[in-house]
Amino acid sequence: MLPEFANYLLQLTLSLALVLSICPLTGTFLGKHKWMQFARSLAYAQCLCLCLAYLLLAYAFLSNDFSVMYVATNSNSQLPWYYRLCAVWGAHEGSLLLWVFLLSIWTAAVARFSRHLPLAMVARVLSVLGMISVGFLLFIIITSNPFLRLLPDFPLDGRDLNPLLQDPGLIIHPPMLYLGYVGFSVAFAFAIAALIGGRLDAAWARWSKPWTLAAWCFLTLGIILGSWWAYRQLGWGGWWFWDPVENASFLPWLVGTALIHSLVMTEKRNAFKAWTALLAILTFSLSLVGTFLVRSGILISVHAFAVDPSRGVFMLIFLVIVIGASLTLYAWRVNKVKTHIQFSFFSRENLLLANNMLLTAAMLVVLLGTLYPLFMDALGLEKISVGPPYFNLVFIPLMSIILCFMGVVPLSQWHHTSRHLVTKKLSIMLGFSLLIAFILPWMITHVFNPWVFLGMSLALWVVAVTLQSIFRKTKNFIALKKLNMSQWGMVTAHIGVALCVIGVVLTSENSIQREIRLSPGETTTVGDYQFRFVGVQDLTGPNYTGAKGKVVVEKDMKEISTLQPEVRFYTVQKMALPKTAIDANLFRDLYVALGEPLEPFEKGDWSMRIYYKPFVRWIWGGALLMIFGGVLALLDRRYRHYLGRLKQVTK
Amino acid sequence: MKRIKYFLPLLIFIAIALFFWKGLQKDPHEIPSALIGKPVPAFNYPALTGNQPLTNKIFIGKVSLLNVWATWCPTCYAEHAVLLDIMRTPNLVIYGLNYKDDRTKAEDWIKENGNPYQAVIYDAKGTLAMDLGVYGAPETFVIDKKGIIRYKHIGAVSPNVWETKLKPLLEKLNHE
Amino acid sequence: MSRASYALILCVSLFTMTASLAAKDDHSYVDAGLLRLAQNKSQQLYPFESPALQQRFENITTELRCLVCQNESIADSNAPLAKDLRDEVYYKLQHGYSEDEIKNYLVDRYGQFILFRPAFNLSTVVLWIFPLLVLMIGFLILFFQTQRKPRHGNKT
Repeated sequence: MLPEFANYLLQLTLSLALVLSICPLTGTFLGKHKWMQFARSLAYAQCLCLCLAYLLLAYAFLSNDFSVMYVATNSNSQLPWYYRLCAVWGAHEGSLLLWVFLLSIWTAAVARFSRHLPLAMVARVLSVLGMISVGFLLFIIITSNPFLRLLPDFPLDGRDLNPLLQDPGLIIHPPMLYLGYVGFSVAFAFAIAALIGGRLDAAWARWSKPWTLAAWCFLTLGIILGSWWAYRQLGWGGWWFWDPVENASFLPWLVGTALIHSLVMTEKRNAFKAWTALLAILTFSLSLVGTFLVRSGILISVHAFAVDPSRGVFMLIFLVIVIGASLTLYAWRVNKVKTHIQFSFFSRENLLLANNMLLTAAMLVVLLGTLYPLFMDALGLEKISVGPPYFNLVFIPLMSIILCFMGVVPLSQWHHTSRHLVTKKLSIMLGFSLLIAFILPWMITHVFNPWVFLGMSLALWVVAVTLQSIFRKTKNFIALKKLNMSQWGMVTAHIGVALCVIGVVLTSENSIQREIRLSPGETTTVGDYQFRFVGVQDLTGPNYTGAKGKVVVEKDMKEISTLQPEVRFYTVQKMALPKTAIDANLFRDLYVALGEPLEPFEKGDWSMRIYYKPFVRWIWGGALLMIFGGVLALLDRRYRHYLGRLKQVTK
Repeated sequence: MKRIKYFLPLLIFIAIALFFWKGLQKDPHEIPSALIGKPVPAFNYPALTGNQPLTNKIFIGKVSLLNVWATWCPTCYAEHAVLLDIMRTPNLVIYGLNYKDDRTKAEDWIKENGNPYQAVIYDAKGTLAMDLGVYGAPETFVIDKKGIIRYKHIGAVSPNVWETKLKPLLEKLNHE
Repeated sequence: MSRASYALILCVSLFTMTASLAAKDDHSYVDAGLLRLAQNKSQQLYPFESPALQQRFENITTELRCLVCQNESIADSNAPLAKDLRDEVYYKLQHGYSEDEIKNYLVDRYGQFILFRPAFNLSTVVLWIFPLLVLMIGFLILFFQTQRKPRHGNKT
């Protein structure tokens, strides 16, 4: 009975979304206040309905209702309850429901926190969000309904969740990623609303900036959780693979980052409005393209979990309507917007513009690399692969140039910066960072590695100039309070980028990896560490069997850790997976993945992979710092000011 | 003129969407063989049964299929029944390539399930398979009278694949 | 004045670019880790006499795509085919084949698809030229943005 009710809820939500997409927007043209005000109630109702539908699906999973087809294909009575809850978004249908549910949350949030905005603007924004919601609800109801039943002959037990997904990393990765993807729809809706209303101005940028920042934070978190999960789960110690699915999340991130910086320019200097609007449209469009690439199975990927080409056609049509219409609207309306500003080369405007150019260039390069095999195939040419070697080769130089510019930005001023001051300060900082980047790694490894030198000097350059700019602004430590939250956010995020770069460079260049064969009792040396293989015993889990190895790690004759890597065989899905064991601290990870037993089996030899990964945590730590910077910028007084006003209104 | 640049993103998007549309009709997982149009590489391998070694000369003179199979491959079981039907086609020879398998197991398999093959090449280490660019089982090569590889089918040969793809191709090759 | 600063930044950028490109193709420096690696040779699945050869083995295997697992390199994959290909690369390296010879050998059998770093030829020319092109257009836009004397400029 409950799944039927959920089905009904979906249809009810569709009609609500339809009214939301038409009624308030028409109201703005006809000048009817009542119609426009209706938008808020509709947004809340939509959110409530989807929340209920979502809970019903979760309940079907928790109660092992295998008469629901989606539950039967993605769950099992032996699956622990927490994985059963995550299985809700473990495949296509459920993840779409999560998508549209999160969209309704963002929509409701816009309705709630927008009381200071002109009513017409709010009505337009909510209508645009309603339209996106209509598209996705139609998609769910027509092609991918998670509430379809298997009646009357339903299976006694389910086919289990994909073992790759049975990991704590997955519990939060997709919701965060989707919150980011979907969150950019708000910036998109603001841009479209502004284009419709012809009000592409500084106020528009100020309104959409907190939403963009929030979405960006979620997307960043989603990406690093995915990276962390792949690092632990796939068993070969990589943290970024340039896989199409990863690129699909990275593309909106690159443009989203450009958007945040461009919004600053539009907000502060009323400049580059057309460019900012284009970035807002592009960011969400790339989120949609990303969802399409992952969901349609059009590209080959390590982790394209829920794939169905027949649904691709529907999604492509939706994509063409949304992106095509918004880009047409953009081309048609945008030259109503004009700016009159002037600036010199060393102005902050120009540096931010450079940042935008480079991030967009990086996006285009990654996009082309990801889609190139598809282009070749569609043209009937030979099938090729574009993999990590290509992406590293083209992306690293671009990133290096971005870092060069990033260092200069904090010292620059709007309109024009005194060149004398800048050149003097910058050359000191440049010399300083080059020197440290040369000496520090050499002292530790006694080897000169050009990659490490390049990465370290760029990272130090960013840190040095950023910190220096704070002290220049505040003159002394006591005055640090004078900095506003936005500036703190910028400083924190930029230092986060630098830490991330240090992590990337040191992990890539100084990692040691070993693929070896060990007998029980045998010891191997990796770096400064001795790994003693004790042996392997059998293992039985709730929905898997397997083997559990024991490896004792020693350094300087002292035992520092016992690692217990596993190989699990998931009985329902008939899939074997390594479960890695990692001993982590701030400066290095010791990572062991069990391979397979080797002949002669009586001896008990196993093959295994052992990795020493220095500074790998810095990659995610740096990214967390970036997110923290984003949160700080969100707490800026200007936005809090609106919240304060909001409280007064509600009182 | 000034407005044209604002249409640029739209035009780029339309171009990409067209490629997506074409891409949706294709299966990205299917990788065509690099050996199409090239002769079967020279080899000299033992047969699964009998003492006579087999060489690449066996493909000369008649249109043939070379089917890569193994006892550890579940889909090969389903395919085997189809091959037993196909073997009655006139002017067609089917050769087998036993890929990374255990000799006795493979012999038993043939005895139990019937033998659609004129002869089976026994490739214990998969070295010939590597020369042929095989990356899994089952795979089936179509080879013309001159011993040149013309087509490779990846996955099991189903009655549908046989009727729509292989049979028309074989008829064409027989008339060459 | 602005031109000079522009040139400065451009030079720094180009320097970092060339430096990073040069570093990519230069494997002659020896990693400290690799020296230590050579110590316990007997346990290794693919033991090499020299660290340089070991490095070359790692370079080749991470740049070849495992065809069954679709998006992993043969160095990372646990699939049997990946192991066969690793064995083949190992055998050929031990017998003095060069990196290019090994790659060509595999391309002849499995097609261009096996290369994670696509070869530079007529059909991939766009792929390889595009990043440079985009970068140059970006710099040109920046250049003209500041060159324009913006007294009555109506930049959108």
